[in-house]
Amino acid sequence: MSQPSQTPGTALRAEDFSSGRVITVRDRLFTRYAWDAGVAIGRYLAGLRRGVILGSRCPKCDRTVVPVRSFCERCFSALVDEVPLTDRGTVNTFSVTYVTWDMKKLEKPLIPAVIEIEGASKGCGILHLLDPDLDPKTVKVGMRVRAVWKGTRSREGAITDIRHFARLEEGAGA
Amino acid sequence: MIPHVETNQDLRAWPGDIPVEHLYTAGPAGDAALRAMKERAALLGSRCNACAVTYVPARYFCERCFARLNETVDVPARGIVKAVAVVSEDRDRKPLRKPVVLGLVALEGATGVFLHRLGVKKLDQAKVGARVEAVWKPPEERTGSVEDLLHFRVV
Amino acid sequence: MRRVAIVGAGMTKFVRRAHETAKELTFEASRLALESCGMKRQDLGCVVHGTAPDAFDGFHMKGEFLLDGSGGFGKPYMRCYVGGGTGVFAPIHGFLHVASGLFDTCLVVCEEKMSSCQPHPQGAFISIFDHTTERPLGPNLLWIFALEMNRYMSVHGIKLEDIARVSVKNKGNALDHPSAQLGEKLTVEQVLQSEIMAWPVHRLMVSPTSDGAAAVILAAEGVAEKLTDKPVWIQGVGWNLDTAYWTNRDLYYPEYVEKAARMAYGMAGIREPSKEINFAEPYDPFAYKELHHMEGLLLCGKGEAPRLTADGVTARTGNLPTCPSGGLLGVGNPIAAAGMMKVCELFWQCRGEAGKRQIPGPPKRGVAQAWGDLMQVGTVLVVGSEKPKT
Repeated sequence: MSQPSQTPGTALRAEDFSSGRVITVRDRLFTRYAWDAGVAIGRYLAGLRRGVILGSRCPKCDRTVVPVRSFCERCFSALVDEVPLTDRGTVNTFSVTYVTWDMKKLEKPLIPAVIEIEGASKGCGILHLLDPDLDPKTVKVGMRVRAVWKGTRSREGAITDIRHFARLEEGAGA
Repeated sequence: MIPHVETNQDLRAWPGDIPVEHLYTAGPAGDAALRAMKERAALLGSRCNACAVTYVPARYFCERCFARLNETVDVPARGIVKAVAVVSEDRDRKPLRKPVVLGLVALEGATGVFLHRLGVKKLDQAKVGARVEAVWKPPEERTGSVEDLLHFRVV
Repeated sequence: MRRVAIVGAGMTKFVRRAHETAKELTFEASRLALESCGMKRQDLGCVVHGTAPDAFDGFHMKGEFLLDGSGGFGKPYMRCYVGGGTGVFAPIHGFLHVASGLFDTCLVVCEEKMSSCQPHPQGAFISIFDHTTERPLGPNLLWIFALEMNRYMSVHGIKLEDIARVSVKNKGNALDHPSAQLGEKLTVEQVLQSEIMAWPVHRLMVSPTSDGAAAVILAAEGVAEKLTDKPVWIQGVGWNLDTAYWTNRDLYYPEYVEKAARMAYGMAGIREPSKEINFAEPYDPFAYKELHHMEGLLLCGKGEAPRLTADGVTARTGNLPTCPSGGLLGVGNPIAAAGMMKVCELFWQCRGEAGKRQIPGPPKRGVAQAWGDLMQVGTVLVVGSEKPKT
């Protein structure tokens, strides 16, 4: 028996809801969460409060990853060597986003990026935002960037203690 | 090895939620059943003759023999209480002003039981074995919801 | 292990908003699959169900909630889930149930009703990001696709036109699919002129949100031949997951898909996938993903998939038809059901029953693949008209 040419499934239009042609029930889950940062990320956040990006080194795999973690998912050994990295990096990839999650237009586009952190192994980076004042046309994969930190007093031990990453001007930094 | 937490500052928890709500269609069978409540103050069931089962509210298919159910029947909105629960706290464990009495009612002519509130003046009226009948909201207040049925009262 | 064949398939229409409830969609796909091989629910040995996160539907224990529509009432029943990879993961579970000798037959059904999730299903997707190190930055699902697509394009020097051709092909193919939501005749220019949602992702490079269900029936050797004279044999299965630390690996290439493919090809005795596989249904929720996954499936070298698409090799009339169904871009993307739709397509194509979509031949062997979680899982199924040797 071949695939039937008429298949079941009834498509509704917006009018079917507004006119009450179909009956609906609206509901919302009563859930709020408090997610613990945990042991390794707790230390990572404490590092951010001090203005330091921390990674973890696995001597067995000869690999430094970021952010901090309690164990190496490759060799499955406990990672105890917490290492400070630099707050500079290279754009591994980026996007220029124009919509929010619920498909509303953003007034000013956001530029999320994966930033490979200098001091971590090649290819190891974090998700963060690039300077929103950058002209998106000038942003390139491979561009060097540096963290722009919040003032010491307004840091709270959060990923947002780094405001964003800005272009590292040639000759600046190491 | 899990290190001991030395100061409260090391403890961080992130508050958040999943920012969605849900809009459910009742589907073809559910529409018919809810419309019967709204328009006729009636309980609509679906009959599967092959399995000798009457589902209330109406269903689209028989979960036993997997046939599409096309035959609907009005089931009398009365029956016998099979189980009772008295709820005296809300979901946050705050005491309710007035307890809510829930009942599982075996409707005449239907398979299984139907969950709804029991409308009783005194808690001891809510008994297993009690005969009950539906009390409906007035037509202008009915919206096509299981809440169109106010409760079952003891007869 | 026993040999296992697909003996029946069925699916609903994929639509933006379905009137039918989740249970009813599940029922319709299951019923059609059973009818296609003359089986009754009561004959089934077991049932496997695949569906996405409970947050979509706001139903915890969604697998159990959908039990009746899945035909699982009073039977050994299992729900499985690996995000978008579920649609091909579920038949792998069904295969293991039957190959092990535990059951002679298995109904595998996948369902999604995304329209229930308001104001947008993306609200549920936000919760896939790390709550501490990522969510405070305000990410959404488009970000990871855009980031991966840009990485893939940057490493290989791929142009937007190369990506847009996939949308044109798949949405065009979907015009011939009776269940399709977004079949459309488009040009590359129209795709490139569509709204930029998250550069480099344009609106017409994205699959829609959908409601729908799809199902197959699996049977053991000896039983399969009695149910149909054209069993489609499962020749290989594979699945693999990469680390959830997605910013610590290079997104330009899906190594986990390659590992899953190698597992499936090893089982199927395939040495040269591009020569020994006649057609493919790689997972295409975004246009670039088809290319990315063709490479992961070893159907061509790294960075070569755009060339094959431009040269018409992946058209239905080409040497390696890819997403002849119309894919997620054209047929629609009710998450788990979308992957299962691809498995249904393999079944219909190998039997010569794909109607206007039929690849000449009919083809002897096809591969379906799905992908999901945090850009992390590859699930692969190889089927064909020939019974596997072992």
